[in-house]
Amino acid sequence: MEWLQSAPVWWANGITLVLFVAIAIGVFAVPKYVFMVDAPDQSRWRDVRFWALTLVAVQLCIYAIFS
Amino acid sequence: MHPFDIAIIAGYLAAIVFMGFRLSQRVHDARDYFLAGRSLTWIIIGLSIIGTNVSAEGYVGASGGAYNSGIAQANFEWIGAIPAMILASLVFIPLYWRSGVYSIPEYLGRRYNQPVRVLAALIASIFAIFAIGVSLWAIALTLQSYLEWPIWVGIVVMGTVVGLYSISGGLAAVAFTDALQVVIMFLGGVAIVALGISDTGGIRGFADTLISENPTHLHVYLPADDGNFPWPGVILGLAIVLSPAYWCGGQAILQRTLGARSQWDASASMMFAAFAKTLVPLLIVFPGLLALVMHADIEYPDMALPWVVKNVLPPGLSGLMFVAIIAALQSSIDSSINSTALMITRDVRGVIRGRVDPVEDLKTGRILTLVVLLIGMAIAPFVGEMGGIYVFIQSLLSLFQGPMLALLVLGAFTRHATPMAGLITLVTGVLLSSLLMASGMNMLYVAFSSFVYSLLALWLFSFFSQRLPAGELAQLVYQLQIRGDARKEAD
Repeated sequence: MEWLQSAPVWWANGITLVLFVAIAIGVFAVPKYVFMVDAPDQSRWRDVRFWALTLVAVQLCIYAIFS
Repeated sequence: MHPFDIAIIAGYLAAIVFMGFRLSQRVHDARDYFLAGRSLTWIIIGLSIIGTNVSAEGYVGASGGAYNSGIAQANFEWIGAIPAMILASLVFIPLYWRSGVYSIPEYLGRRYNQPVRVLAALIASIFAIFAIGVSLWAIALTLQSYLEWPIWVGIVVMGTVVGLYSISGGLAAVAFTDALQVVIMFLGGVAIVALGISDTGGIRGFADTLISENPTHLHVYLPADDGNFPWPGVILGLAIVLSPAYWCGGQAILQRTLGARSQWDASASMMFAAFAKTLVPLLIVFPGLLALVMHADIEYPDMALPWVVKNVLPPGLSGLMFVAIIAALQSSIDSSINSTALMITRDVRGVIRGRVDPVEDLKTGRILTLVVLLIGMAIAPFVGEMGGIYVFIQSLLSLFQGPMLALLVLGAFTRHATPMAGLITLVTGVLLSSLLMASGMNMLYVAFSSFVYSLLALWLFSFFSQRLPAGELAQLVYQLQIRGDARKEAD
């Protein structure tokens, strides 16, 4: 692990960007019925994949501001 | 302390005990006690998850960490939590829910074997008891500093209050009181942020002062050779191993999602908690930065939060913030005693006896909740005084996280992992972690290395032993569950 000691900080920002974009794409690999099977109704706001997208967008903003 | 502050504290304590007794009327068997009769809504569970997550170390320690290292401390709430919470919401919670289990060790027991279940439950229970002791000690210290109560009085009074609502009302009481506690925590946190920003010349003035005196304190990633938060350790150890192990495999966190009234509520609750988690640095990181900007005269970084409460908040609000600190500690204790009682009742005692009985388990669960709380109260003065031992125990816990996560990941996503390989990997993975820790490697890198080893070992060992029958795997492997659902949808 010692070689990591000299890794530049911009790598961290790049990895973070890739990770969150991958999550944003990956959430849509989960079929809607997996979590909507017993939802009280099928309204679009109950689709938690969109909640995840919002979370990812907020995180990307936070990491862009404090990079 | 101002009489108005004392009135707020007394009113809060009375309200949570009353709530616990009201909810106890709903408890008739072990399912009601440990899973709230599967009646909880997503908002209550989401708030309760945050209450359980923000602990003694979180509230006081994170402010101290931010005072030292700046906003890099918030990685524990952002990249060190949000990706794992999304994964838990969309994958692991539906998996556990459909498996019909009460606990994560029970899932591991069904996916691998009963020795893995008992081992996982025992490890989690032992560490939880120590954590309860430390939290009680922290509450007693807070009461001593604000109200000048002797330590033992603080432990007995707070132990009694937590015991009254937790033992009578079970998970429902724990979840509802947690929700109330989190609302109070956020009110106190918002008051500190608003008054703190105002006292330091607005957001611009606050940021300018902070950056001019501490240039790296608004950088979320610190250099790779930083002593506290090296960025490779944050990403590899925290984001990839420790955080998923905690959010996708931690019993105290996930138990309330298994008590949801529907699977949708369970998944939505974790997403809702993730939104709240994004804001948690305002409560626990900002006070540390504020103390720095206001040039607080403190001896240790961990004194940043008490200094801010004393010097920034007016009477009434300081009482509210004091309640918020107590609430954070209580919500961690109540969740730990409830989940520990569940694991000992079902995953240890139930396995040894070879049977479970919902009515008998309710009685056993209540007795064990009391026993766990009493042990926590008894050891509180010792673990508190020997803080170094608790840090050591926490390091030991990280020895298990890598192997446990590997078992969960390969168990949940592949049919290949076998029961015998699971047990061997758990034991050898922990041994490897111990050796790496003894060699002086950073805890975050130990977690990552042991996780990689355990993934490879579990995969390889599984070639030489028998898989579970296909019928059993169908309920325990994510893709097989989905395939089954797709077939039902098509029909």
